[in-house]
Amino acid sequence: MKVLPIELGQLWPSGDPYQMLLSLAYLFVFIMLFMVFNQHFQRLWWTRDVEKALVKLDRYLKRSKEVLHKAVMEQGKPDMDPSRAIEDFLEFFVIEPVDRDPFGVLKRLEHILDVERDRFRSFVAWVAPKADKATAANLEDLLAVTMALNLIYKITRHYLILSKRTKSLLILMQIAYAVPLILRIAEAYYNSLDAFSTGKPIGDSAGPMVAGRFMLGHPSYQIAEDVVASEVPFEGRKLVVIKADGPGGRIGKPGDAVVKLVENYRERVARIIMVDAAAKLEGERTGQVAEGVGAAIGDPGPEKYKIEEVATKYKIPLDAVTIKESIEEAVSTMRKEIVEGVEAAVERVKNIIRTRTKEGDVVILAGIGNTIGVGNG
Amino acid sequence: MKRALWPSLAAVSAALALALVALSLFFREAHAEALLSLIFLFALVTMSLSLLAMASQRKPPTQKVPSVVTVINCLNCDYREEREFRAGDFVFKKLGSCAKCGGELFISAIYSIAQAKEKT
Repeated sequence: MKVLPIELGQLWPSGDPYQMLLSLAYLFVFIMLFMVFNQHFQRLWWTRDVEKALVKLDRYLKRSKEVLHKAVMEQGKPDMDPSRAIEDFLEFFVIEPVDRDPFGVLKRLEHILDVERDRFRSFVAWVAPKADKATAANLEDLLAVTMALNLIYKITRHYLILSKRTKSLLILMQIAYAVPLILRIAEAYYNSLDAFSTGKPIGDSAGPMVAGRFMLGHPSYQIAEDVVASEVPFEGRKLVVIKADGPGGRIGKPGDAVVKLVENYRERVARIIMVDAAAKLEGERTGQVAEGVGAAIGDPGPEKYKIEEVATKYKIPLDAVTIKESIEEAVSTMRKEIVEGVEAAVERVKNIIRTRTKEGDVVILAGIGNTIGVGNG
Repeated sequence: MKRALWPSLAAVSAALALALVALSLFFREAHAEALLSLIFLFALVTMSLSLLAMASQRKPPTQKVPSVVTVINCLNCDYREEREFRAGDFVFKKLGSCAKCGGELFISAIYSIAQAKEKT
């Protein structure tokens, strides 16, 4: 019996309806997959990526808290369990000063940073009462690392939840594409736990290590908050070397130290040489030494400002020597290439002194950076 | 085998199996539809392979466990010694007198040499 006016077989040349149906099904699936559900699949893919990163960040944070707790218990020997207090302190925050009226903003910023440092110190002194000065400084750094991991985890989670609630593909896309960079920073902090809990020098200690090489065998004295100085005779010149007070994880206030020295020696200061670790560009060699001019210091502003200000006031040339390293290397245990960079930087500083100053001059050498694991020479 | 690769690998295997079925159909009956299916399935295989390549680029979480060396030098002579890092070591720490010349021994450097990886 003929149901349709034409034979179904006339619609396709082969006469096989199953093959034709299969082809149509393929075509339908293809269109549905790549045109209709495209965004849906992309959303699922990005969400999965961010969720996987969150699991990893959560693991880093938990491990970081464990290491901090263990270090506080072993090195600080508190009478009570500090877990709850540490957990509360991880939410500590700093509000930057208003900069709509920029007048005096650096002084206000310095004041806030001083208050922040005091809070850190008093908290560590409370949870780790038996820790000595150097160990307490390392615990402060360890606390700062855990706080950074906590913040990274919370911000990533915030954008993931926000994208789900608002169904915004734009927010999800931004956080998904930022995840590799976020993980890179988090992994750098995570890998720094060992160095901060055991007091090993990190990549950022390169500057203080260069200064320490010159201070070796010479007595040092405190010149500013957490900064020590040594007067070193060098080929007829007086070299005044400053660095943060080690071997605890401190940065100090090198700006105050330089201002004090310049005000003391005034016109006799022929040059200020600053040595610091600098972020390398991808493709650059770790430990490579570069030379330039300006204040080589990566602080939020106040210390750099003081050095630039006093150098300008007395027209003192500022030399900058940097040792290149990545952000991961800057916070992880110092690598051999960076130690080789330190040796090269010492020679570069000697060369600057020999070629750009004359006998009888006073030269200030500042080794900038975290001095964890590096003593005062 | 990394866990993240299994779904992509399963998709590739399924697509390859389908492609083989379509290929056998093509050679047995020479249907134009089978050829169409074959092209589609090859496209599917190619896409699955690219997904597989993308997934394999994602590294699993690792914690770098460096082997840390302490270098000891003498202030007066060329004495040099390398040993494993011990708790309490720091650069420029004085370590007593040199067995060779009686000069002062100090730690000249502490650094990591190799970074073995382990799963967290």
